[in-house]
Amino acid sequence: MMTISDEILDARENRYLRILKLHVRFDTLVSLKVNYPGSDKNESLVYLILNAFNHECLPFSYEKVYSYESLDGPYYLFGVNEDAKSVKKKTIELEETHELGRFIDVDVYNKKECLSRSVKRKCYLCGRIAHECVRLKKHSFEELNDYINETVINFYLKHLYDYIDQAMMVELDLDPKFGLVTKSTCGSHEDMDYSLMIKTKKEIIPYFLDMFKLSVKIDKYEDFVDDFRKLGLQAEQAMYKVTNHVNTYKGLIFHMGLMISTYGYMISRENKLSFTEMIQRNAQLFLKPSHVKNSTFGDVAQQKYNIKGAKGEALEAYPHVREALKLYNNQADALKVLVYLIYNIEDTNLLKRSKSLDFYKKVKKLFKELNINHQNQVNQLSEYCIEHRLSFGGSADLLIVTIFIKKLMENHKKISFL
Amino acid sequence: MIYQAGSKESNDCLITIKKSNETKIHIDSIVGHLFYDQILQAVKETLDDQLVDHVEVTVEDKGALDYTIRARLIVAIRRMKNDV
Repeated sequence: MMTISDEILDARENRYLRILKLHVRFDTLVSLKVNYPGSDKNESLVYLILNAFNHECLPFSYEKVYSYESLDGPYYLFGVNEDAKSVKKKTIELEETHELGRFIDVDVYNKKECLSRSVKRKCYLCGRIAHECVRLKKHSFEELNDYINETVINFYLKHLYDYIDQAMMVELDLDPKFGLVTKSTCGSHEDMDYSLMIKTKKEIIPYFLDMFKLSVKIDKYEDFVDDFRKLGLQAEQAMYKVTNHVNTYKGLIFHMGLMISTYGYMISRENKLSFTEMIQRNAQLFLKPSHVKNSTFGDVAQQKYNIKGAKGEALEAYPHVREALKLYNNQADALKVLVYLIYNIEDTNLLKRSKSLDFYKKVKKLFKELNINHQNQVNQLSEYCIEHRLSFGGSADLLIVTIFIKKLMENHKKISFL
Repeated sequence: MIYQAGSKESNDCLITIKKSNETKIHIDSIVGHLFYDQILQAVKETLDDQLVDHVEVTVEDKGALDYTIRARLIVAIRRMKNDV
């Protein structure tokens, strides 16, 4: 009978045989895998580590990449047409300098020979030669696992914090902005200003990070919908507390909660569904009729005018964000994306402020005719919006989501929102 | 005929085995300076357990544990026996 350890050894040998076979086609082959202790080589941490290495950012260029799942964990093989020695040098540097580099093994094969390092890898717990620690069983599985877990989760949280913060700041710092709050004006919102938005941001981000932490360690997403919802409600409460009952980012909390929990869930395991499919499925889980109280203006608008608003957007897997992503390359495109969203999405926030469907349609038309390259047109329309107390919270939320998803896509090959 | 098992990956070893007039064991290990004797012991014991002699065994070790070395050697021996 084969034990799990035997099966892991088998999986390793199979990888080696694959490499030997592929050598017919490539002089240099690179394998990228995670160095994780214990017998569960498909633990969520393994996926989190492997997915932190975006193929576009690897220090070598490859002709072809092969992806495998095995009992020895997931791994990639790259067919490379570059001198093996120089590739090895660059991958050693990656192992040494990347924040999670110590947890991966990048093996470089030249004509069936695995190149070895001249300087041996150090144990990340005690600094001895790693192989010596392994043979002497210096560290327990728990000790190693705790260290890996802490390092990996902190790595992700740090980056996630930056992505959310940057996305929110790009939106907030866009000025003029058609009645939305900016640094220089509170626009159409007498109860909000720039510093209040910043204060709310600080209050709600920790809940997003908690959602991420939860999403990477759960088994089935559908069993934890209530837990995510609870974190979302706590974020709302924290928002209302700091704003003295003003809704600054309630819509955003919903969108980002959905995005972040789906992102964490996805990069911590093997998936059959794409990110887009998973967003749609998870949106349905959150917006199941039994869970939705028809209490927001968005719900009323949907019933009365068939304007679906934020929830409709989510249930269709954000068609406008996916379009907006094609327009957004960097911060300079924020205005273009915002105008695209204002013109195209069904914004219940705008409808509420328009007071009538006719006026709502008139406003939409103004945006259709706006040429954003003419600064005075942008200024004039912004003044018009403020004068009529119009604002576009729904669009601003989706602008933030667009910028955020763009960041995820740049950093994870696995995340694509098409 | 030469039979083999394992890989040249980190924390693994590649074992080759062939028939020979006398039993010979070659060990090339990245931790040989510290663990040569242990590895040799593991190979000898496994050969005894499997009732195998008159073989030439080569261990190219990339930091494998004894468990792995034994398991790889057993598979290499099985491949040799099945082929006979």
